[in-house]
Amino acid sequence: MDILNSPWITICSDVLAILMISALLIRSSHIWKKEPGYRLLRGMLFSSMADALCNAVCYFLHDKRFAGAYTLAVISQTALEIAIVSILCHWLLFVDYQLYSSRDHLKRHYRPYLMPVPVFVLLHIVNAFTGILYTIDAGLRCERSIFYNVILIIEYCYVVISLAVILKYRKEHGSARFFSAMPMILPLVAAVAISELTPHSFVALGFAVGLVNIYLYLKRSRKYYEEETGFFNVAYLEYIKTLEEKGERGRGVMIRISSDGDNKAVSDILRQELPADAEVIFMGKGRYLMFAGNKNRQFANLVNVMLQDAVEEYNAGNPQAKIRIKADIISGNER
Amino acid sequence: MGDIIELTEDNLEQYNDLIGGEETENIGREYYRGIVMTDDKGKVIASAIWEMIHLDDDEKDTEARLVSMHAEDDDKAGRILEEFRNRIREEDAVSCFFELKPDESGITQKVFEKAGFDISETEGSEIVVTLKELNEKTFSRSGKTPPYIRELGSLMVRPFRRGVMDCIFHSRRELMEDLGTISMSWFEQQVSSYVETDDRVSGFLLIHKTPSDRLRLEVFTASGGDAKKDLFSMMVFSLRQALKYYPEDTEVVICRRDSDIKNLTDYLLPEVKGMKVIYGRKEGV
Repeated sequence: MDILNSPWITICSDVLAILMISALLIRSSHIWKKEPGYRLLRGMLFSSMADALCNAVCYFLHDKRFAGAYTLAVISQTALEIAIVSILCHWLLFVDYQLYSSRDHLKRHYRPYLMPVPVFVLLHIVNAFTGILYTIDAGLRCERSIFYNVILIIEYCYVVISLAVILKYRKEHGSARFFSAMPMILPLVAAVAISELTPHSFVALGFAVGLVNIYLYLKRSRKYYEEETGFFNVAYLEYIKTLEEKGERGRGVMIRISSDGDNKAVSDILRQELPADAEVIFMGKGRYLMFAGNKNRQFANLVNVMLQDAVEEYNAGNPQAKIRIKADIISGNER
Repeated sequence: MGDIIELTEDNLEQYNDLIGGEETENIGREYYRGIVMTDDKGKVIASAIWEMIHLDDDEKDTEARLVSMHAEDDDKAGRILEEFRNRIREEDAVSCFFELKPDESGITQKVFEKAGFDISETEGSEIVVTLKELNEKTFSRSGKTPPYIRELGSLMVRPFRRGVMDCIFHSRRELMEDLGTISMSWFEQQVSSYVETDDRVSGFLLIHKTPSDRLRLEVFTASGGDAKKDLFSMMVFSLRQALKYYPEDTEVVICRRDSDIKNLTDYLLPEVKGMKVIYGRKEGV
């Protein structure tokens, strides 16, 4: 058998993709399982399984005739195309959610992201009866029309948009978020290129590698999180100091927050009252530091007032609690 | 010559009619100051209102922005200007500046030049347009505004304060000096708008209604992944709200204090220019 043309290359890459995505799902924490990201990853898994099944049918059962036609070949090829569209959509939605961590941001982009999908699906189904995109000839080769290539370019725009989202996020958050965009981008680009230039499909594998890289990025960032409170730990402060010494980040103002009382209740209050993406470090023994960039004493006073109001409300509802929080500004030298 | 009296919320009412102008409504705000000079009979013969800038910012020099000044003649103007400089010096201001409309203050440029100000005539940073003029622009005909853009009146105080804190935290531009402490009721509740994202406020378009029923844009900011889109949506929403509740000839005052707002107004309202003002600045008070 000619190894380079063996259908087993595609099938092995699909199986590897399924195993990688399954591993990500299994290793997910129980908290993340409630998040939209987990459901999107699951959708990616099912799409990859469909992709694998269709590839297998295409390769091994393509010459079976039903009702005088290569019906199975046509159905499996159509289903394969739809599975690829599904993988592309799930990838884009997953990237959007994982990077921005915003349900509303995802919801507001659903419609523009998913609008072309019914059109693609319809076109592929229509193609099964009319052959406007591609035909399967007597030699069971797939002959593509120019319209197919146009549709393909539009489908792969999902990859381009996801790259734009990744790069935009990188630009906004810079290197302080342990982010390297290339390990996420290169596997996709390589997979798409190889799939188009060879008889084999590595699409599912390319996306799976991209997903693993996103997972590794999240895992790398998790070592800087303190489990009890969900805020950054002291190691993150050291990391920031390193960036400041290298000149990759400016030294800014910090707000010191001192608290008495149940750590979990205090961290819940802080999470509720402080800006959603504020960098807050738990220093231990009820002490927190918040990076406030170029903000001033007035901002620190505002933080203090907000926290006092929240504590007052909490203590009123939980008389046993007696939580106390105080915030004041410190300069970089006082850390 | 006359007594210098500090304006406060308690005594403002007795001088309000005598001073004139809209700026007195700012007395009582955290960084606004005001003084009047009265004659023997208690009549106001000069006044000055100013705003302290960067007063609580250890990283930046404190400045004073002279918001309004009135005087019967140059002698009295010189006296009140001197008192103004003394007072801002006490608050460690290192410079002061102003934009005054030449016809309204009753003061000649000589007074400021004598006090060491660098004076020039220039286009003012404020522009005034009517709701009708804004409604004639293309952006006003955009489709339905998204449901997560809402009027300020639908927001409770605590989420408003949180949203203010978020906006101050994320904003790269300078916002109102006292945004962190000003009451939510300062802003017009039906025309001002906000963006809600993930159960938090991620942007504001805050309008203040002045005593002369003008709508003054005070805060226009958004953060988050779709900040530009949110800003546009708030603009459309607030304009439509304003047209619902105010007559078309209502004036809207936009202060172009930073380059972002200036670029936006230059793009949307290229034909609208600021009034001619006298701009003065003095380094070292």
